[in-house]
Amino acid sequence: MREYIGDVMGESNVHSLDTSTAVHSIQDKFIVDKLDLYYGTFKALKEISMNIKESEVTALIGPSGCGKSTFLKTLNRMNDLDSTVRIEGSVLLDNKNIFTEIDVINLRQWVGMVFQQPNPFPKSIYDNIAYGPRVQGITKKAELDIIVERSLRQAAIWDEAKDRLHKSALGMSGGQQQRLCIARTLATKPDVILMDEPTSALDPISTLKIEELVLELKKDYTIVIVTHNMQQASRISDKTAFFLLGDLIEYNTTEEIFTNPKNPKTEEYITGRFG
Amino acid sequence: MRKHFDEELLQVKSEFITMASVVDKSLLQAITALEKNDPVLARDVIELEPKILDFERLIERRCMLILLYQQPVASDLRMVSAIMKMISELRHLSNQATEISELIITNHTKIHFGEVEELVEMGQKVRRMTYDAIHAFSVSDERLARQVVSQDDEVDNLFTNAKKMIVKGIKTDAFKPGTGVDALMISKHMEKIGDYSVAMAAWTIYMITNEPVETILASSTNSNV
Repeated sequence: MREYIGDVMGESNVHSLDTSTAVHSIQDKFIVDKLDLYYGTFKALKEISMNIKESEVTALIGPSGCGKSTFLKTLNRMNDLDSTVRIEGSVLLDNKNIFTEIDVINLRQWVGMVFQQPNPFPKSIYDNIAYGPRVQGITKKAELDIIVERSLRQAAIWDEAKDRLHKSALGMSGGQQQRLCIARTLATKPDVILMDEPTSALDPISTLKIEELVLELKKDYTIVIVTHNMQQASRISDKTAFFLLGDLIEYNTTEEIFTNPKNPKTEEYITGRFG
Repeated sequence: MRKHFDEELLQVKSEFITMASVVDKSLLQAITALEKNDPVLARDVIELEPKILDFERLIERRCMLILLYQQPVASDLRMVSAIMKMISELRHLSNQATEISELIITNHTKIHFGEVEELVEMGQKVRRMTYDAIHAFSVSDERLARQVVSQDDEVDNLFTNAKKMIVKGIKTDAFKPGTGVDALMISKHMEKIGDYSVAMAAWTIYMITNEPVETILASSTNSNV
């Protein structure tokens, strides 16, 4: 993947973020083109254009209220639930428009989401993981057993969970619950995992485990993560997008963003001079 | 948070400039000692070295603490990493000034190196480059830093000329073999001083522009070929 970095990034011209460059490339998982999002009359996202590459971790950073979580939610149409939301522009997933060409149920199967607060169902560990596959119509226990074990292993929580599969998930620690939620997301075989500040409620050890997990998972999944933790963004992401007041200010390789940001606003924000 | 961090950056920068001034002073003294064949001045240079080493340790520790506590990024990170590299260049540079001073002390009754025009010329040249490299850092002057980098080949040429002249002098007995070899070593130390000031200037350019140091040095060599 790495050799393609820069070809669609327009890395020499991230300053102006020329929206006309959002063209399809085989490695693009998402192509976002001139995306506007309104909450009523308030414009929360302004002409966002960016390509999100397959099997990469893309971090979205910016101050509170900058639109990064709104943008993340748009990628699996979580904003549909808000009747005041109006969206213009397009978001292509594997070259299909997520608003017009993909059923929202399928979209959310392909594009999973992990939230800030771990939110396991008040069910057993096993049933948490099996929930999605059951909804998809898988009922055979042998098949579900395989999915549960595979998902828990992928989420690096199998060893801690294997002897208590039928106990309540709510008895797990916060860090374990968050990995369980990641396992639950993986069980439906998504292509993309969206993470909205997945470690902000966790202690440093649990945070490290999630970060390690993200680096493992990116071999097989495209990951988009919202984080307020600058070091986290620099540790785990390949690309970083900086949002401010609904604008995408700068989008580039994480190394460039954190060593040599092109836009003074990005520099001000990441160095803490902002505001 | 940022106010405190800014103060820390300012402090480490100002300590670096103080260290650089001491090194520049020691180099100036070494060159003057050579020009005047003054062993007392040369001894002063040697006495400055422990102080320079202390500065290096202090600034290195300060930078490590900034990395640890502030986790700087972007231009802050470049400044801290440039300073960490440049203190080591400064120490190497001061070692060369000490070596020159020791050779002056050893030989001052046998030869007046200040009468060897090539050595005086080289000494003045590399001292100017060192001064400019330090100044370029302190005022973030990319143009001046590039000017220092571009002078690398000039120093190399001066060294080649000095070497030829000294070898010829040894052959024609203008130099006694011992003093001739020491004159050659002085010219080599001066050439290395030129290299260290070029490296400092390259780190300053990196700090300002994020251009990799190897690219800066390579482009300078190419442009001078």
